[in-house]
Amino acid sequence: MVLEGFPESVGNSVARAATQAQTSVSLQDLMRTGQGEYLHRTFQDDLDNDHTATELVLIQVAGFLRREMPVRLAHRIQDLERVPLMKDAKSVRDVRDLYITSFQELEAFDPLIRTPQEEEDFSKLLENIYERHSKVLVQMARGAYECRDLIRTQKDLEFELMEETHNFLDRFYLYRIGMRVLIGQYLALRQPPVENYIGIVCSHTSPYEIVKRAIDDAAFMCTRMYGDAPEVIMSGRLDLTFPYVPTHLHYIMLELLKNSMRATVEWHGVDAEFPPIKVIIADGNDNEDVVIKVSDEGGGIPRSNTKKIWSYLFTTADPSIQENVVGDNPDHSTDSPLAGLGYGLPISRSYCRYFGGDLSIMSMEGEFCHVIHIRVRRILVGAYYGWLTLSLDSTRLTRWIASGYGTDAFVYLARLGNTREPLPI
Amino acid sequence: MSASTILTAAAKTASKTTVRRAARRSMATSTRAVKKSAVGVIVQATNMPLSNIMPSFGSPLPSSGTSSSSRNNSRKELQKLSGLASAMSRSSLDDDTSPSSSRRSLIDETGQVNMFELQRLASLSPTSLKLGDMYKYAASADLEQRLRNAQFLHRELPIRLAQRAYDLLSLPHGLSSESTPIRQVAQMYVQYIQQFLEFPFPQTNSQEEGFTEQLQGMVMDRTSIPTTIAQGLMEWLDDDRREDFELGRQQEMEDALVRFFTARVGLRFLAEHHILSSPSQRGGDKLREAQTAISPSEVGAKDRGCIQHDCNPVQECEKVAQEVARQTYDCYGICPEIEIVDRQSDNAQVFTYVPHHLHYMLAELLKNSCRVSVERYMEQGGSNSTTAKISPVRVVIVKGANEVTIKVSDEGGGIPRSTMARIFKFTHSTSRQEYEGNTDFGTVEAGIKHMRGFGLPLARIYARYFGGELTLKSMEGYGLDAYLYLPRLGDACENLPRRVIASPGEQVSLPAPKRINKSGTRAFSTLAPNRQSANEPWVVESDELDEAGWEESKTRRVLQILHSRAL
Repeated sequence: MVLEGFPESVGNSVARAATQAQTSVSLQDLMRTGQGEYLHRTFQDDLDNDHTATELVLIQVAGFLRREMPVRLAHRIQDLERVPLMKDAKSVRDVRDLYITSFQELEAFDPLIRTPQEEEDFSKLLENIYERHSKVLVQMARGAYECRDLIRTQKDLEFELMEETHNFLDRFYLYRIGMRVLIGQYLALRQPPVENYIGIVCSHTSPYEIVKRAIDDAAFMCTRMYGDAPEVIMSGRLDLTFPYVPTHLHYIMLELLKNSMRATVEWHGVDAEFPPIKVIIADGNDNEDVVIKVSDEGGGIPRSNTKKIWSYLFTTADPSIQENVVGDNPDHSTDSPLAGLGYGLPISRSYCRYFGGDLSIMSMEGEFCHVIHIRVRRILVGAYYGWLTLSLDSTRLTRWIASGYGTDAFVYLARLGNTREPLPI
Repeated sequence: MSASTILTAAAKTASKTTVRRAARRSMATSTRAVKKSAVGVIVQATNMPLSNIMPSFGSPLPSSGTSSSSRNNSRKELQKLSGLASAMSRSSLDDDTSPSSSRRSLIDETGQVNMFELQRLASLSPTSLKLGDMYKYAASADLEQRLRNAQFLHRELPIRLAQRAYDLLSLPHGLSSESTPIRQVAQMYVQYIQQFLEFPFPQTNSQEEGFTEQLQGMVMDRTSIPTTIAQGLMEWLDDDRREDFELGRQQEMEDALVRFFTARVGLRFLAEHHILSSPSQRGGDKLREAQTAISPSEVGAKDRGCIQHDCNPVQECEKVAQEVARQTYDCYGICPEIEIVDRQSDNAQVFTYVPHHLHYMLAELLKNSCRVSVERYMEQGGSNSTTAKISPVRVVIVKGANEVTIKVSDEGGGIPRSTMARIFKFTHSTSRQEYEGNTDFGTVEAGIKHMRGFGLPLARIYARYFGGELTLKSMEGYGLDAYLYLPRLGDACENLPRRVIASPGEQVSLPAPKRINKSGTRAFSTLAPNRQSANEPWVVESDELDEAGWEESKTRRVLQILHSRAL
């Protein structure tokens, strides 16, 4: 493989590493490794009195990462070289150079890690890489933005629906999540232990607690933006716990609640009574999945748009935010650099799918009407007529008159955590 | 309409001569095979080069090796045009010299199906009808038009029935010969075709009424075909337990059944529409009653035919809910409360749709929801427990700019995600635990007690027929939400997306056609103005949001393409 701007030897080693397959890891593997249950796989005699169990675990994980990370980086570099459209964008080329640099640094490190000292040096290296790569998401977004301009001037394609680019971005972000989970887990294992946590995995994640925190954050953002926020009602299995990565779940729920709140406020108008957002947590003792449903009554999305909400290139938010973030003078003073880029939903779905779950949005689109005017009239009418009730044996049919509807988001999370990462075979 | 009918006849004639020649040629080689084969379907796929005789369902002319004859054929068509008036009137079966007839009997003396004749019929190209036209003709009281409609149907229905029968009889892997119910259904269809061919071409209004009565006879028998298939499937699947289970075979059967039922919806739609739009209303009421156990809404002047332009979804839903509640109560002694939330604005209460499709889909969803709610209540202790109470079933109806959405949600415990893919299949095993449970306490379509497991896939076929969708989202341990999207057909059915605009579901019911020859299409472009859509790969176009459904449909498409190549 010939890489521009790098000597041929680098290209060769990347090509060689890319021929190896990536190892797929599950949530249970992460937990068990962190607890030292797999130590016998690496060390012949675990009665090694020189090191403690924790040190052994760290050495084992460091060794695994030293072998695994170059392979994964090489696959990413190859992908970046092959994508048809985006590889010409300057930001994408910067990302590729970044990956190659990290690859070189890893390859330069001693492949055998045996002592805690070596392991500590390796962890410093990984930490540098982790920091350096944290801007990749924004850089790729900028690359996509640059491509869009490129396309629009040339042809009349509907950019949001370009499947090839979307598949590439989907894969790229999914595997990026994978790499960051592995590195993040390793670095977290090096920290002093916290109760119930093994690295970044919490064995007693309570969806109820996480959703409550997400509600507070979302309500804060919504109030700051619009002046008011709708109420959120939670129901279902509030006492449930299962092993998961709390930061992921928080990201996903925050995204969904943000969307629901924004839709509700914008549909009904800032001064109106907001119908509450409902969150239902479902679980059973023999379940495969934990399911969380977020329903709002914010008007819904037309069915023709449902493909677009998963696109990395479509957003209904203010275009000036996009300009600020990825334009020539990026301004990161908004809530998050990604707000308004339209990335929240597809990335939330990648987080869900990474551990064997899924995220889907079902929408019921109602008719748009000038809300404040009609609602006032409706309330009067409602008060006058009350509710219409019809009786038939033991069945009651009740009827309300209203207008507009909303969206239901379903979050599926694998409960047992034994699903392997989705990686190419 | 008449011009197109003439051209249809011309097409048939042209293809008949080429087809007959080729048939005679290969008849000689395969008589041996014919004699060897056992009683039953004549096996022909292995011996004859099918591409010579019937290249694809989409094009009436062979697309390979006979391009010179196609030029001859177009010349012949022009000749035919001049002499066709006489040809059309001649409908005698045993007049061999007439070019438009000489249809040998499809079923010969021994009771076997004559595959060559069937192929010949199946190779003719069906004509798509615009929904808007259908609706317009139903509303008008023009008897001339009605006669032309009847004549069109007289030619068109045998072609479509033949295609269905041929499709069923030529399933690969011997699916059609092993599974007797498939063969039975195909023979049933062949008998219908025979009836059509024997019935004289309607030329007066009285003949047309007779034709309508015959159509009615065909249509009134609603249950025998699905029941036969259901029973046969149960036997076929149980047999399959003996050997290693082959996913590919099940998928083929699944695809064939989807094609079959989609086309069947179309056939019945055409026929019923014609019957119900009869100005004399003879038998129309009986048909309406048979269509739905729900008391039909008043049939006004605008309600001719199946399509009702002022269908009020909330009222229809209430009717269905009452019926389902009554049945649940009869069966279990208790019934959940069915709440109907009407979220439509005042100025848009009605939309255009086919009421009995809507009834079927709603009944299916409500029946399932009621059943699981009752079962969950029983599990929690029923009337013996003080804390258990039966959860309500909630129906929300919303009308958007382009479609009406109906959501049916229950709290009956849901189903696991891994079994979700199975509930929409026709061929899932009937022995394992299913969502539909063990008792099917009767549906709106009276008497279909044997159709276990068919309700949901059929409901989805109905939904997709006009370009809508039915999606189920389950919350394991809590309940299930069903989303029914129904496109608004517009006041006169003119507001349709391009792929739905003509005889919807047509492209789904045909296997992937090959590219139509340039020289062939010129003569036939007026026949099927929307043939363009038949060139698209055969997909069930639906906005499947979940990845599993998308992957599934991709595999299906690949299998379909392979299947068509094998043909």
